[in-house]
Amino acid sequence: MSASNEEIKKLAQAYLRNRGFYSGDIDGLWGDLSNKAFARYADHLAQRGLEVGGEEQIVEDAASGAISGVIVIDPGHGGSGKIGGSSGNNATSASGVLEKTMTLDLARRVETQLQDLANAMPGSRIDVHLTRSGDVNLSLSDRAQLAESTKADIFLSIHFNGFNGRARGTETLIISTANGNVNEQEDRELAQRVQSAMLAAIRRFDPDARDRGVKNGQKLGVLNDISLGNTRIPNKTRACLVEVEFIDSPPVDELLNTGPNAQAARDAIARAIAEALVDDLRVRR
Amino acid sequence: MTATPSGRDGSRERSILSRAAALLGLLSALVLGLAACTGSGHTVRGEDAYRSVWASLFPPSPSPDGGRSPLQQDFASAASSVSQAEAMERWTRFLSDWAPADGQFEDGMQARLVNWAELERERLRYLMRGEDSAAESVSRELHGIATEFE
Ligand SMILES: [Zn+2]
Repeated sequence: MSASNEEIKKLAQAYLRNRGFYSGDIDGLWGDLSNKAFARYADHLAQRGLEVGGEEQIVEDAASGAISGVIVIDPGHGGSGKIGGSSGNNATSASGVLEKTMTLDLARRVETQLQDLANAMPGSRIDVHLTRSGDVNLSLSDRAQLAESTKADIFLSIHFNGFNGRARGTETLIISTANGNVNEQEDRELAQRVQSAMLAAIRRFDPDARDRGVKNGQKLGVLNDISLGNTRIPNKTRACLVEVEFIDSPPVDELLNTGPNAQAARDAIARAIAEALVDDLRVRR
Repeated sequence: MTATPSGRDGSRERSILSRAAALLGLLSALVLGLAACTGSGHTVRGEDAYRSVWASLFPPSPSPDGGRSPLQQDFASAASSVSQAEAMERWTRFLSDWAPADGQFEDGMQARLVNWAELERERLRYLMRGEDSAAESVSRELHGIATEFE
């Protein structure tokens, strides 16, 4: 590949990975894995009677047009005590790290990765808002209402699961049409992007990652369309809630908190989520 | 030994046999009672014994909080009830404390545990009314869910 800009190459790799053709690192090093991914992508287009002009084309595709958008990230829980349906904390990791601490840490990492991605796309601008930046709790409706007041394109609530110390899995939750969601299909597409990206990132560090899929069976206060403003405004916020993993499982605790690659794993998950969000902005552009 | 039911000696032997029979009955009841409580370490009346699908999947933690949140601790406590009456009281209290009044859950963990508790209390209601086939139907549903978390 002749393109010299490392960020553009990273973008191309992210482009291929979000479409399921590339499973390597987003590192800007265009090696054998990237070339093979590109070949598979070209085959895929050819089978549909489409052409791809060459390796430069994909970089252009990836970099074409500036992205702009507003994203609200909601680190679940916070503080102590229950406020408006939100508990101070729910899950606790095997080594004692609280879910509320992990949600804030991951939210900040996603924010950083989003800004990195925006900086790599000339002319792009992504405004990121966190519902909380410290150890405080907010009601579920206050969290959702930040999406309306900032006219957010995307609202992502971050949580970690807990059960019996053995269960594993990654899941993303949305609300069904039957439960009052006015834009379930858009939410589902966003959720599927985020779910696939998170799972791929976790699997790079841990083959025991388990896909629990996208689920729409529950009413979730933080995704309520009335609070998000989606029942009143034409440009609806796409929203989902991620349950990244079961942190009371010792292998997950090692993966995310205590192991030698914990920082790298959290960054990889944050990067994967950020790329999925950007991809969703691009598709809806 | 052959009993000779006549005279003073006969009366005494009848009395001894009668006591032995009573003792045997008591031992049988004790053995049946212990079997019914399935190793929980508590003696309960057999017909009231309670065993939830979650008891082995979500046992009480050996330490006071076991790294669990109050939500998880309360769930584990209800799941480890030893009698149906105790279980009904604990599941009802769990739902009163944790099921959101407006039906809007805060996350997947809360939604999952509250939904399971509702199903378990439904099963228990059927059991206590003697509607065994209805209880069995809910039980199958719960076992199906539980296999996803083994
Ligand atoms: Zn949570």
